[in-house]
Amino acid sequence: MVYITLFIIFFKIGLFSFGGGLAMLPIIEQDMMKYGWLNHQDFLDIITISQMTPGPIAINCATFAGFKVAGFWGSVFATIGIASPSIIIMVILSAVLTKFEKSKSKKIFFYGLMPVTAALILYSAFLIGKSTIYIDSLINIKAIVGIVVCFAIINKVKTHPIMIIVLSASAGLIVF
Amino acid sequence: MLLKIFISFFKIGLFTFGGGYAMLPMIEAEVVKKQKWITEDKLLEITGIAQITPGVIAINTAVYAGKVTRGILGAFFACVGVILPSFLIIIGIFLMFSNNFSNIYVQKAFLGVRCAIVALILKTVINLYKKRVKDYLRFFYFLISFILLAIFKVNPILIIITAVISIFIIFHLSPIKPEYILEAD
Repeated sequence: MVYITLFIIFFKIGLFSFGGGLAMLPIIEQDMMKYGWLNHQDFLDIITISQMTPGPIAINCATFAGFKVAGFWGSVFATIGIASPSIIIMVILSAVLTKFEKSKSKKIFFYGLMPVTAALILYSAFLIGKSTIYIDSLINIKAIVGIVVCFAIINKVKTHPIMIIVLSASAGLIVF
Repeated sequence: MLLKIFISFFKIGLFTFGGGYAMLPMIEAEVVKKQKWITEDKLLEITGIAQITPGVIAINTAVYAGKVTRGILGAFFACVGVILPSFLIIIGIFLMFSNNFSNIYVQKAFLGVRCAIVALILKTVINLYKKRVKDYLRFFYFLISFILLAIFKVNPILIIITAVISIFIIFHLSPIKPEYILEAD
């Protein structure tokens, strides 16, 4: 049955994805095309939407692809499929980790991990920034100003990120 | 309580654009500062672990945060909360638009949103940096990681594994007592 297949495929994708949503996209495309469910154009649509809708890219992809293949229930099974590995693993892992709560090993582990985490997060900001500032090889000065202004506001005024997002969306309509 | 968890994560899921790391500022504002369910430190740890484990980073983070707040049920409600907004929106798009994605107004608004996301993530990084990169060794790890990522496009998982193994070796071989370094923060 197509729903079970969708679930299994996306479960696999969820289980073997390291490195973030964008890295998962080629794998999803491969799998979808292997079963003859989607063609390349479908996939370009998926990528566009996944980046524009809120939520993790991988989830959006699964929902979208699932819907294209098998309607509403297709998207349900695909979405649950891709999320399941995370739920299972993290629930088990968090239980295991509480055993290490105060251990020296844990401190050493995070001592080394946190700088790398910081670098990874910085890099993601860098990538998003690049896609915002460079459009078709032209530098968008307004975008640079936008980022600086947002940053200034965040630092000076105690605002909820949601507020900033709403404001910047509105500003975007006017400014760009 | 579970309903509150669901609502908070629904809000987070609704406004997270641009992937897993963009979720961090949201979770921090909602879960750490507003609801005070977990501490900032705990969130940083959760993020670190979520990076290493397979699966969607955003979901990993939400599930772990939910579990810490209210056990397995909390994890489940957080997860559903985070997934539901995008799920509903995409279904909605299908039912209403079919193929109207290149609307110029949508593009402009999203460009604005992306600026905000960059700024938000930068603020998060700066906080993280100030808290957890406090000596030369860690700065070295940070710098090398970034260079490997940005210039050499090394797989993040590889970098993390190398970092973790090497740090244990360093502490094992270090003439200075580990406790001294670890407690110095």
